Amino acid sequence: MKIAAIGLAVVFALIGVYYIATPPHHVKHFVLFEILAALSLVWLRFQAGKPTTPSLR
Amino acid sequence: MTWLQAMILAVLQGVSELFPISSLGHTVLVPSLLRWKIDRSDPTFLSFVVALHLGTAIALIIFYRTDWVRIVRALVASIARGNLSSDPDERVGWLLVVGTVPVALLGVFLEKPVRAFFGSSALVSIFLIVNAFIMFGGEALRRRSTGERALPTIAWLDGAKVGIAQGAALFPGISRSGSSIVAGLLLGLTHEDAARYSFLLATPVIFAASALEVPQLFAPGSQAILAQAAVGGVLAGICAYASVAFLVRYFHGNDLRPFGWYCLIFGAVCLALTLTKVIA
Repeated sequence: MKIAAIGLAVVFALIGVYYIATPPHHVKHFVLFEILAALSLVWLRFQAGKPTTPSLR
Repeated sequence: MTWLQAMILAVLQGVSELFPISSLGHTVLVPSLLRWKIDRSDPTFLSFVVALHLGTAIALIIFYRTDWVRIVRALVASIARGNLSSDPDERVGWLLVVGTVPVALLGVFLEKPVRAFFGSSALVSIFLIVNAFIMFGGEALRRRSTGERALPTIAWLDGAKVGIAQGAALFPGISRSGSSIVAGLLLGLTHEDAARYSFLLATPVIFAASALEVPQLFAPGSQAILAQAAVGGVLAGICAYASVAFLVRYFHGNDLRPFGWYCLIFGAVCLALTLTKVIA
């Protein structure tokens, strides 16, 4: 699952960069995908934390 | 746009953004009813709308400031620890994250095509009537169910469902707060908790969407309405603050049906006026 979290973070970050780097330079798309990349890193952080996570019902 | 028109639009936006009556629907229909010649695609008008939304978002942040401080602290603590606890503020914070992601995705990818396609007065009137039936239906289903749940006890998937329901507001005439409050009610939340989740959920979406458009306020040609935008933004914020204060007290013991009746009557009148070509 750690690989999945890292993979998602990289993919989202690259998609965000693509949107800002290519015309018409979508700022909203860029910000959204960078936030999704950050959330993927939070998921990674949770996997590394103490195993006291309540069930994700 | 005259100052009077700008101030009426500011009040309309501030009030209707949080009341479950569709702000977008009203900003399409009211100028048509008053026969205002406003080009909604004009960049200066769009700058003005950005300022109104920013004012509304800031009012929401100020109203729920103590909640936001607790929620952000709990989220930061959760990330620092690297796990989830049973803290209600932390739970609400992650529910807000889970609920915001789908509506952000829907908004970013579908907002422009949906609004361009469904922007006519007739369609907006029809969606306003649909909005009324969403609220009537939600209330009817809520009365049939028995149990009540507190906001921090709802499941992650249910939090995302409320976010997706909020996406229905992309259709002009469907209310963001109405659809998300109904979704909350269907999950078993009380009116009070459903409204609180709806308003908290709306804050990051409205704030981020308007903050990212702030540079548009300073674009060439926008200076002419900068004063109107600034005063309009403050006025919209004051109206939004008063609205959320009223609604929080209102939902303590009341339901969505009066707003449903309002949307039904206003939507039907506007539809009749549109079909008879009285309004464009």
